[in-house]
Amino acid sequence: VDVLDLNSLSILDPLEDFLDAHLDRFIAGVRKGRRPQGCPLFNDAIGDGHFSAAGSEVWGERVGRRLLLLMDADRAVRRRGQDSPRREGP
Amino acid sequence: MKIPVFRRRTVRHRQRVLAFVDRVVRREHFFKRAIIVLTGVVIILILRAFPWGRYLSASIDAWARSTFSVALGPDRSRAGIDASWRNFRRREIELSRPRVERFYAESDPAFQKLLRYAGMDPEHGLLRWGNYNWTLLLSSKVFEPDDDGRSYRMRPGLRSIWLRNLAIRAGVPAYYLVPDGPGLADAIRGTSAIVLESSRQATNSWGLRGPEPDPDAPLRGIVLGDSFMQGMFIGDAETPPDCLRRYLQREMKSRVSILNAGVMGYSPEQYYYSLTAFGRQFRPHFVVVSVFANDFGNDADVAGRGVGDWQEGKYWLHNTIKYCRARGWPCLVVAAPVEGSLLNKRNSGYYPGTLANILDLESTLFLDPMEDFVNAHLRAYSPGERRDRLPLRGSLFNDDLHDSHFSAAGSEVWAEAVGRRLVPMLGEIWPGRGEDTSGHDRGDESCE
Repeated sequence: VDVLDLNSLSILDPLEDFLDAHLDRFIAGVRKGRRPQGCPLFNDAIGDGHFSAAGSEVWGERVGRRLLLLMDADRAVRRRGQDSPRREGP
Repeated sequence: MKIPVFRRRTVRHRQRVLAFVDRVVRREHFFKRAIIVLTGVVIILILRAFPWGRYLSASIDAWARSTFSVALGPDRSRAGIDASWRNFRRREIELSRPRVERFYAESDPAFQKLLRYAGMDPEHGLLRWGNYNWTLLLSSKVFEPDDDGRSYRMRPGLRSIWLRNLAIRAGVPAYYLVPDGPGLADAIRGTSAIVLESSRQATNSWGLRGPEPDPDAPLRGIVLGDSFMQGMFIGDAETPPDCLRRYLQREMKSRVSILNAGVMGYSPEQYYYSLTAFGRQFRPHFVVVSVFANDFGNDADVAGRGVGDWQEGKYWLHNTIKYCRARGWPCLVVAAPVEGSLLNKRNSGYYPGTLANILDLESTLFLDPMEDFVNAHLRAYSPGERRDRLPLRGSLFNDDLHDSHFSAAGSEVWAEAVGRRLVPMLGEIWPGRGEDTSGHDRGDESCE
């Protein structure tokens, strides 16, 4: 993040969402009496560190939300005849 | 008869060098120097050009610094460090006192009257260390000394308010949080001071901002922090801890009491001593530690270059975490976002990245709410009239006051991010969810 010369709005670190989702699933599993082994958001079950289906869902939701917000802000700027918020920063 | 003595004349023989030999020797020296310089240049080029070279260079640098620091440095034991801080703070206060006296003497009578009203004149002003390595001039009517580690604390049961538009000329950082009493209007007459009505604040009987603590509430939490948590220039109901209280009440369907131990100018050492001062009496179910870049040194250096006293901060934060662990209290460390990093280039690798790296903390107990702030900022986006200014409506920071602390809207975003993390954590350890039948207010209010 430090070395990229990018506006903050153009960078997304979804780690906190993954942590929240992990905690939600972990607690839900414990309540059902099935304490999850590892993180259900990754393919831990098969010894792989890529996203599981649930992890993909979290990633997609997070990235989609940011994209929609960026496009909304972009539209708002265009309506007022100003520059893109990604260049100038809302 | 005198015997003649033949003394040997010492003649300095200087062997002459033929010109062509001299040229050869000079060329040889030049050639050797050129080889040394060229070798150096090649090494530098390799170190700069290749990633592994840069890594090697950084490693050698770090090793050399550490070796010299251990070999030549002063006493590195904790007792030695504490003693050196004590001396530094005492010396800085001694140096600041004459500056305050001079500042007072040079002020006009109206301003002197205001300083006397606020308890900030040389005779009564409170000079204490804060903000990691600063010496602060505080109102002795709003704050009182604390010699048990916190340096200073707010007086209990007191109403106070911020004055703005006062240039800091004291030679010492001066905070104009002054008593909100009947004499205030008269005290500011003739000065440039403006009373910031929205900043009115009250302290409870524990000397902390916010409602009276309830040690019998079904769910209790302590928030440790600095001016971000105390709530700079915002109302009592708009501080981040009070927003968190309402969020948890809604989500946990229970009465919640949050002890807002945030005090402006505090840093990790004071967070730790705040916890030890209130923890036993309040018996919290969780602790939140709010940190900011200036906890580790100059905020611009920390946030912009990653340069700060990370080890000192780490020491006190680890003490705080250990204190919580020993009592079974989950301790969530939350990094307050830097406004510049939100609106311009992000440098989160320096701050809070460095902090996340050095703290011995599992990932779920460290929260960087930056992405929530970015999303909230985009949601509130409505272009302002001037293109060189940020839109004021919906701003998450006190931009309209040229201040970079959270606004009421920013407090709300912070509280939601922290609450979202706490709810599942508390769900695991706290059995009382939804079981509050006391009839107390469970908070359907919103922060704004």
